[in-house]
Amino acid sequence: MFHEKEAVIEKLTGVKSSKKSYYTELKRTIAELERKNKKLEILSDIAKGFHVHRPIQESLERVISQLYDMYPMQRISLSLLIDGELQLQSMYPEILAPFPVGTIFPKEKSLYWKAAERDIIVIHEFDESTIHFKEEIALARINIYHLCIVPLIVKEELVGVLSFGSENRINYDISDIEFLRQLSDHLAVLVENARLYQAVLQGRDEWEQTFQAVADILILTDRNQRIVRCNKAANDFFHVEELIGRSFHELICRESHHPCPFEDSFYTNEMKNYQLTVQPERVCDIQTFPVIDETQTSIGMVIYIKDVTEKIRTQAQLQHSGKLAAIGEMAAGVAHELNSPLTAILGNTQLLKRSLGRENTNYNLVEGIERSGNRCKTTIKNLLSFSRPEKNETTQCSFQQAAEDVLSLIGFQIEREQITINKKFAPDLPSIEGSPHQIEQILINLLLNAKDALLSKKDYKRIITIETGIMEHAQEKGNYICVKDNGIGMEENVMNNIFKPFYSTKYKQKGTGLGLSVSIDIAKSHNGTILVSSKKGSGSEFTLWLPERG
Amino acid sequence: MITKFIAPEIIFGEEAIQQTGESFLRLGAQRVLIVSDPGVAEAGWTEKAIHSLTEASLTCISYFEATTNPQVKEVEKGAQIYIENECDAVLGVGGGSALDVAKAIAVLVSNGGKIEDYEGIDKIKKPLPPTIMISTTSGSGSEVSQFAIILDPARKKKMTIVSKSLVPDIAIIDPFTLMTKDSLLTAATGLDVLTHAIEAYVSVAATPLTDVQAVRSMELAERYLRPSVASKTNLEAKKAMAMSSLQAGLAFSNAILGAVHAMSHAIGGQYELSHGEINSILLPHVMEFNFIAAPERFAHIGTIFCKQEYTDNRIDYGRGAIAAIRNLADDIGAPKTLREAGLKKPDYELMADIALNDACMVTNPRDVTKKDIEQLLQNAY
Repeated sequence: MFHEKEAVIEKLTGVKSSKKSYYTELKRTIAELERKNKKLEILSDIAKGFHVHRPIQESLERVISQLYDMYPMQRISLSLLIDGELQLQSMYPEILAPFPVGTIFPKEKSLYWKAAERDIIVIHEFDESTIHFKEEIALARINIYHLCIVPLIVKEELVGVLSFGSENRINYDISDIEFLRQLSDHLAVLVENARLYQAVLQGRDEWEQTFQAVADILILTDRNQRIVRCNKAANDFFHVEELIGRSFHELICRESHHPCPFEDSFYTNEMKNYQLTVQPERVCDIQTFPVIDETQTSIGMVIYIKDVTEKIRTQAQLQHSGKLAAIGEMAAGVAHELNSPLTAILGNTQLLKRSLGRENTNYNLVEGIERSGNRCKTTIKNLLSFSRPEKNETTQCSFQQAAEDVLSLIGFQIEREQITINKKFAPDLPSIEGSPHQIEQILINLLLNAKDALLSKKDYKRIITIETGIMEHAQEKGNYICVKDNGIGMEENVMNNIFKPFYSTKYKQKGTGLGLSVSIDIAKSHNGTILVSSKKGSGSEFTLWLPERG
Repeated sequence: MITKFIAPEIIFGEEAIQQTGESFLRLGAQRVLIVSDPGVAEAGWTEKAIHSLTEASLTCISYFEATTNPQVKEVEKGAQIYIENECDAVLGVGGGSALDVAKAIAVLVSNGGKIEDYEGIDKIKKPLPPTIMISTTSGSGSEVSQFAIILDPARKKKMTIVSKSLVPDIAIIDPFTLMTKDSLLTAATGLDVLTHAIEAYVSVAATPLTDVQAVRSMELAERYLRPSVASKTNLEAKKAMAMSSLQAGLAFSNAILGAVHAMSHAIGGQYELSHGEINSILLPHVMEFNFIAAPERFAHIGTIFCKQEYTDNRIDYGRGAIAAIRNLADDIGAPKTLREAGLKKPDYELMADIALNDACMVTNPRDVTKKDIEQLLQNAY
């Protein structure tokens, strides 16, 4: 009672109180402002320092180092809500890691969950004797006894929990709590943005890889036909250093006069299909898809280009070989038909020869019939063997044999045109591996071409020379067979195109434009090649070279 | 024992009011809220203060609505005017009521909240804007004190706000202002001054410094209160009473008061009565009650009022003092009973309850029970 009264009197007379000073008030206000500024600075620094590419852990480190002056915390951890589970995502410092990253906190006895579920900032203090929560057990091991747990909310959705840990108590006042809430809101948005960005990035990567994986050409242009993106196939196809930024129109329509596929599609806003020959003689299917913005205006174009040159060639070859097969079949039929009467002719001729006897004046005539008959028989036999269904299995074969077989088939045809065939077969030529049938096909082509080259030249001695021998090509040993004529020869621009499919200098009825292109394909399939040299007006020379081992 | 004595800067003398403008300039004010009551304004003292402010090129915002027992809403309205007009200083002109309102406004504008939040001791957290108080009644001592008394009609209670921050920056006392008071008011305020001086002198918190002020105040009042009541124009008496009031104020602001004020606050909270009059009625009764607690001090008061040297019988001197006070009150025509002062059927028990809890009761020299208070009130009725 006495002391109580004394205390009241002391307060009244005011020994222990003074008039409030504006100086101290100002200092306090300034200190408060400075603190507020510092907080704002931290918030802005966090925003600045938070890069989507930077690991979250690094950003957390920045946060805690910036907070340390005001709040001496030792540890910060971020747990995110993933599929309804609270999962430890990142922490700083990592050494102070009682839980490994990825730990899932069960709802029971979890402080983090407590803050998360109630959407409140939990200031929590404990010691060894009061341990109740799971987090406490782990944190006690690293001497963290004071926690401030802040739920992270984005658009009213819980995204995670931020936990600040310190060894000693930090006294948070209302403005501190408010600040931590702000900070967390800030972080929540940043974390969420990073998450979304990663998802977008991943999606982009997936699409990019898909784009690159397509074997056909894909190009995206802007409204001015400038190429914005293209895949690897596009780069490979056009052999241009940098496609991006180039004009699609110039690339595709540069030298031709066909309508520009881009413009057509761009102005009609419709998907279009074209087949064009672009770049040095490639036949391409081109599909254009306008890229349309929300106002239904074209803002660019997706262009899909498929190189169909091979496909068309194969198709034509198939067609051609189908025709050949039919002719072969017909020839076989005719040969069979001729075989029977020929057998009768030859049989009867022999009987006639015997009954006439050598002395008879008609014996020579009958012998002539027999000779002609036999020649017919050989021709028929060769025709039959050539037209037999293709067997492309490789065997040991010789150029000389092939040449003889072919000549027996078409030699007469050639000689009929007053063409002399010179044969210069090298003796003891080693055999090579290959399909005799296909080699014969090449020789037929070469010989018939040589014959045609000679026909348009008049009044001189027409000669075809067939030569075999050994030659090295591309540092490999092999055999060659050369068909040389002294015909009209070729100009250089013709020579550049002769192996392209459908290229022909002959009249439509005579040539398909496929002979040499098929021939070079066969040579290549034997790992060989066909070499050409020619001079306009003085003749051409085609050399089939095949390696010793096919 | 450690003691403390606090006082504002004090400007005393004839025409001291004219110092107001320059004083505010020194305090760095630009826009001054002037708090006064209609009576004082009518007497022209507020006008003088405004004139001084205007001469110093200060902007004046007037709030002349303070009443005798100032209420919470008056404070709130004043604070609102202060904020709306972006004032940066407060001037109080008038008696205790106007000055208390001015102080309370200053509390609200810098501390915010409600004035009820600051009831009690040292509840004020932030410094007040620059304040100057011009006392025109010489009674309340509010111009130098750390008190502000505001009535809360909702609780029918006079709230006592105690804080060093309530001590104004500058107190201006101009004896000329006393010349406009009528004899009744002069008598009531004069007895109020005396009550302040006597209660401070016998307070358990009295210190040598307050004693000097209290004794000098009593000496002046003993000598000049009668002539001051008698004449509006007796400048010598006015100057003396102004000084007496100032010194009583300095004394009680530091030594605090006693049972008279505790009871007076209780009655004032319930009934519309003049604070000075209630004090003057209660004073002799409380003196009688307190007498045995500090006979030496009462004896000293006796030597002042009876103008006699000490003899061995100190008790007689003390009793002489009480009689002398009664005579003085009689001479200047102050009411002697609460009934005379206009109090009707007081609720003694309620009064006693409130008074017992008043801050001023703590420093009363004699222990007081509820019964004691009830008895004292009955005696004074």
